[in-house]
Amino acid sequence: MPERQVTNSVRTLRFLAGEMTQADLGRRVGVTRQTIAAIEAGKYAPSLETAFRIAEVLQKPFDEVFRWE
Amino acid sequence: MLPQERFAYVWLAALALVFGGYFIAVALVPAAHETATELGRITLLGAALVLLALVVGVDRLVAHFRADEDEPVITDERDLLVKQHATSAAYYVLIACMIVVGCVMPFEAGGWDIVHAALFAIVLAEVVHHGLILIGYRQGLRA
Repeated sequence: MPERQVTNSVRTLRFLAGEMTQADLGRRVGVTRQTIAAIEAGKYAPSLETAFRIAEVLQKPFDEVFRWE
Repeated sequence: MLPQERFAYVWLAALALVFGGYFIAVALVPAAHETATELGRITLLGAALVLLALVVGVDRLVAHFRADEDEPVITDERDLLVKQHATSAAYYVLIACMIVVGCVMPFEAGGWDIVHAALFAIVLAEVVHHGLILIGYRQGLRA
């Protein structure tokens, strides 16, 4: 069975949301700038709660931000 | 670099410097250590511990005064996850070593051999702990 993982479009959506910085997104979500960078790089899969918060801040449906593929 | 990551680097460097030096000295000059008085041995061990505390303490002070007010140090879920993974692994390393030190060594060794083995176990567990923190931040971690 091929290994699936959580992928995301945070970087693109952040750019489309007025070029929001990682620090700004992190502050609004409640995590550090480094954690946002790790999420974007696929080095960290956030908790469900943080993932929902990111989608909320980016004003996008959850499945547009995070995917399981 | 996150403060937690930098602190792990400092701990690893301090452990390598202080206890690397201590264990090498004890192993390379066993005669000197064996002929030393109890006070001399305790002084050497105490000096190593004080040096470790100084290195780590000075780093904490420097970090405190250089803290960036625009980017406050907060602990988020990723920090907790990295710390949790590192602590669990270090705990098992420490327990395994302590079983050897406390349940096996007393039948075959005694005195300072046991002290040094226990100290080595603690240092090893600390190295595993801080090493895994670095790996967790550098290579990523999945819950």
